This record gives sequence, C-alpha cells and structure tokens, in this order.
Amino acid sequence: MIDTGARVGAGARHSGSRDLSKRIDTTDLVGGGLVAVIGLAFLAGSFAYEIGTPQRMGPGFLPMVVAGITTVLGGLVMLNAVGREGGLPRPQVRPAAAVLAGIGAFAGLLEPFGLVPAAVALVLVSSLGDPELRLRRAAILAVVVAAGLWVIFAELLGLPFHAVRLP
Amino acid sequence: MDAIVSHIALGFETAVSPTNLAYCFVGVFLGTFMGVLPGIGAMAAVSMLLPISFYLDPTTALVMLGGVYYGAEYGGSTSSILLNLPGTPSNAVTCLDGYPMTQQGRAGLALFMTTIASFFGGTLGILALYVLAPVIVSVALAFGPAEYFALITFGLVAAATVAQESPAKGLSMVGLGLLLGFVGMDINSGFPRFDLGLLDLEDGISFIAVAMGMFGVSEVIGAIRVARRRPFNQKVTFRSMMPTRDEMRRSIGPMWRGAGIGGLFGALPGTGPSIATFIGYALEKRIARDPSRFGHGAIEGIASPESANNCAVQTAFIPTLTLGIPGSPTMAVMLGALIVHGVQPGPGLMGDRPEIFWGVAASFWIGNLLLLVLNIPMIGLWIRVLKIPYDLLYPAILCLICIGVYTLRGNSFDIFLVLVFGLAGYVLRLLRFELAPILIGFILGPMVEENLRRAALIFRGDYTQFLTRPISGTILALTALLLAWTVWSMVRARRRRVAEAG
Repeated sequence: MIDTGARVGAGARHSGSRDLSKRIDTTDLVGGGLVAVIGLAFLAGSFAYEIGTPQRMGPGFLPMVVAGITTVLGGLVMLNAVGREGGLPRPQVRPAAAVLAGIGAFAGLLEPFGLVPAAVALVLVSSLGDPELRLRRAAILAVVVAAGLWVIFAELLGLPFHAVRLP
Repeated sequence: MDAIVSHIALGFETAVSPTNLAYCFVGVFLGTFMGVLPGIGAMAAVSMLLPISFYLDPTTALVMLGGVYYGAEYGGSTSSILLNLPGTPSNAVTCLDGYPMTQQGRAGLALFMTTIASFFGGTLGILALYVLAPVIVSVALAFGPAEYFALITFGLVAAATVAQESPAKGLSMVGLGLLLGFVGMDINSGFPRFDLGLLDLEDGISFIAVAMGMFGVSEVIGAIRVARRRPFNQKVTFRSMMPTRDEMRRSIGPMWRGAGIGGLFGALPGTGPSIATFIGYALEKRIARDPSRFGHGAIEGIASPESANNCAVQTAFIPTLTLGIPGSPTMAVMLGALIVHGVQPGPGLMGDRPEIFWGVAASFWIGNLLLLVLNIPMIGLWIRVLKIPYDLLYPAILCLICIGVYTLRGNSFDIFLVLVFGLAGYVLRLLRFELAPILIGFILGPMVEENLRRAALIFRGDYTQFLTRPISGTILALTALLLAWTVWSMVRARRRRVAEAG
C-alpha cells in the first residue's frame, strides 16, 4: 500500500459546476500526456531504422506501429480524464530523493572505490529519507551492513568484489 | 492414468535426492524470509538468488528458485496481515481483511488460515500441472509461430485489461513495456535499436534492473513513511491460531473457488497471481450473503486470495515449462535461469529432459509441505523479523537490490538503470498506473516480434493465414472478443458517469 500522500486539489470536488468539460482528472491528464510523449519519442526514433512493408518488416516496423498505438492510447487516457474529478498526487520528495541518490552513490562508488565505501554511502544517503533520522544509528547500520555484505558476497559466495581500493 | 503415476515416480526419485531436498528447504526458507520483508517481493527474491543458482545443476536450480517463489508469496502475506504492508504485490488484497483481523486481535487466526489456504491452493495447482501439462505439450507440438504469436498477443491484452481500473491505462503500460523491450539488438537484422549511442544499451535493457527498480525500489520509497507508523505489538499464541468450526466451514468454499480462479489465471500467459487474487476477492465479496463484512476481517477475504495466489504460482509454471512463454514476470526470471543452464523450455522439454520437468514438479509438493510444516512453528521468527524497525531494514534491502543487479553483468550501468526505473516506477504509481503490464510487455515483446516476423515470412505476407489456421484463429478471435468487451465496459462506465452527473 503505497502512501502517495494527500491529493492536492481534491477539495474542489463539489465545485457545483454541472459543466462536465470543466472537470478534469489532472492525474490522468498528466499520466496520459506522459505516455503520449514517450510514444511520440519512440515513434520518431523508429524512423531512423528501415521500416519495410508488412510483407517484409524492417527493424523499424513494429516499433513504429507499437509507438503509434501507445501514443493514441495516451491520448485516450487524456480524453477520458475530461469529465472526471481528480487532483494531482503529492509525491514524497524526501524519501524518494534519498533512496535514489543513495543508489546513484552506490553505482558511482562501487567500481572505483570498492564495496565497503559504496555500501556505506548507500546506507547513509538513503537513511536521510527517513523523517526521524538518527545519525548515530544510521552510521552504525552502515558499518554493520557493509561488513555483512562483504562477508556474504565476497567471502561466502566468492564474488569478485574489492572491499576498499583506490582508483 | 499410468502415465501420471510414472511421472510422479520419476519426479519423486529426482526430488528426494539429498541435494534437491536441501536446496528446496533453503529456497523455501530464504523465500519466506525475503517475502516477509516489505519492499522485497517474490520477483526481487528470485532475482537476487538467481546468481547463486548458476552454480547448481538445472533441476536443483529450479527446485530452489521455485521454493523461493512460493515461499516469498507466502511470506508476503505475513507482512500484509500484521503490518498492512504487502510484502509482494499479489498480497495487497490480503491486507484488506487480514489487517482488520489483526486489529481485532485475531492475527494468529489470519496467519494460520493463510498457511492452510496456501497449501490447499498449491496442492490443487500442482495437480493441475500434472494433468494439464502433458495435454498442452501434445497440442503445442503442432504450434507454429502464428500460434505463439496469437497466444502471446492474448496474454498481452489480458494483462492490460483483466481486473484493471482503466483498460486504456493498462494497455498503454503494455505498450510502454513493448517499447522498452525493443531497445537493444534486433534479432532479425542485427541492428541495435534505440540504444542512444550507449554501448551498454546495445544488448538491451537488463530485465532484472527494470524489475528491481520498478517493483523493489519504488515499493521501498513508498513504504518508508508508512512502515514507521505501524508498530506491531501483539502476542501471537498457538491457541489463538485455531479457527472455530464455523470459520473453517466458511473458508472451504472460498478456498475452492480461489484455487479455481488462481489455476486459470496462473496458467494464462500475461495474467498471474496478482490478478487472480483480485478476482478471487471480488468474487467472494459479490457472492457473499453479507458483503459488508468484507474489509472488516472476513475470513473469506483471506482464504480465497491466498488459495488463488499459491495455486496461480504453481500453474504459472505450466506455460513457462511447456511453451516457453512465462506465465508471470517472475516466471520470466525462472526462464532466464533455465536458459542460462542450457535448458530450452518448450514442448520438447518434457520429452527430452523428463527428469527435470517432473523432478521440479515433485519438488513443488515437497516445498509446499515444507511451507505448511515449517511456518506454523516459525511464525514467531517471522514476526520478530517484522518487528525490526523499517529504518534499519530498508537501507539493507536497497544494498541487496543493488548488489543483486550488479552480479548479473558486473556492470555498474545496470545499477543506474535501477535508479532510473525506480524513479519511473514511483512516478507511474503516483499517477495511478499499474506496473505489472509494463513488465509483461517488456518480456513478451521480443517474443511477439520474433514470432510475428517469422510467421509473416512463412505465410509469404499473406496475413489472412493467421485467421484461417484453426488454433491461431481461435485465439485471436478470443483476443478480439476480450478487447471488445473491455471497450464496451469502458463506454458503459462513462455513460453511467455522465448520467449521474447530469
């Protein structure tokens, strides 16, 4: 059950307007638009490859067809959004940013610096996503996790990781 | 009938070897453990243990990974019931009545019924595997690319439209998945497509990275704030687990119906355990004498989904092993494991390597039995795991995900992919899109293309042959019917909305 937070704009439900075209489900509008944009991007990209004919399909044929259909579907979702009520969801920026930044740190640090620095970075940075962060707890966790990972993956399973190295 | 007996005999002979038994236990145990953890579902668990299976022989690898799969599905329900946090997407439905039961002090009962219902559904699913698989294999030997194309297309449409809030959104997600699947090397022409000039993309996007990112990472992001608010403090005793006779009686019907639904949707490509649980729950609610009990601790609300879930998990192996078409995204990972071992799943598998096929099937019995026998005494262990504060768990989970993805190719780029898809998955969830259809489109996309092009080649461009060939024609007609029915329900729903507002 993902907690997407409160819906912004949901209070406008009983706006009293009977005119359907004035009510828009913003979430679906944005969602459909996103899909349509991605579809268009792939559609444009597919023309870089030979399309061919239905009888002899080139590498660009099926991508073109699928991208076209997907774009239309995105537009359909947007159309359906008219006449329904709905606001935008409120994203949880802090947890999301912390988790994603942590993963990025791990990806960037693993090969040049080794498993331990990467794991420590991941734990510390992603812990920032917790609203009730306790720094000392996170630091201890980082050390424990890094050590545990080293034992399991490098020692027990014999996978080729460096613990720490200089690039 | 003697065929089935000889299959059982061959299977058990393989399955009870000490190695296979040991790895079955390991799989079930680790799977349950990872399923219990919020943020790691069956797919992530199987993906993470996949590299270990490389060192094992094919049968043992499948035995272990299978154990991880249904173990994780079971473990996920523990987290759903106790914390209202599904450990696996298909356990989301169990929260609806499972958590209220915990709030009413009936957590032990809920956990017990989950185990029983899972075992029940799993047993029926395995029976279906024994009975149906040979039948399907004999039919499938006549399958050509047209038939495969039709079947996969049906799976794609089913994934998008069955039990989805908005078919248009579901279909657009399948479309996105298909497009993502096009990235990489085109088999027919040898051209890399959509690779943005990056060497790392020339072989395509790593499926595991997409799966872990979209399902694992985005789930973790969502769970961070939620998990904090729900400490679990009850004591669960053995006595509290026992159902009353009335509760037992009321669960039998749902368990049967759930298994039926689970068996069907598990075996269909494109639909899997998650959809089966939704439909099972919806059905029980509709036919109940007093539907208002649902959502407040109705035992039927757990019995049916859990039976459906485990039955679907077993029957999902049917198309995967007999046709080479994954019955669910997690099955795609299993398929990958098989291919790595040089085993080609498909109609030939049963004939060429019967000891693998039936050995794995027999191990499912053993694994489900292990689940039943171990999890009732071990429930205390799982509860203690859940009591670990989430702020300690989730960084560790993230580390496991990152390392797991890295070990597949040894390329940090894949970890960046996890980041990208984690973000994408989170955004899509916020926008209320279903994520499973993307994965299904992603896996089935290349297969659709390959079979379509091959069939077009064989038919020399005469597309009517797709319809004139009996099997592919029937399946495509069914697909069209499904689409038509979906569009009609959409139009009807919109008309009702207009009427209500006006």
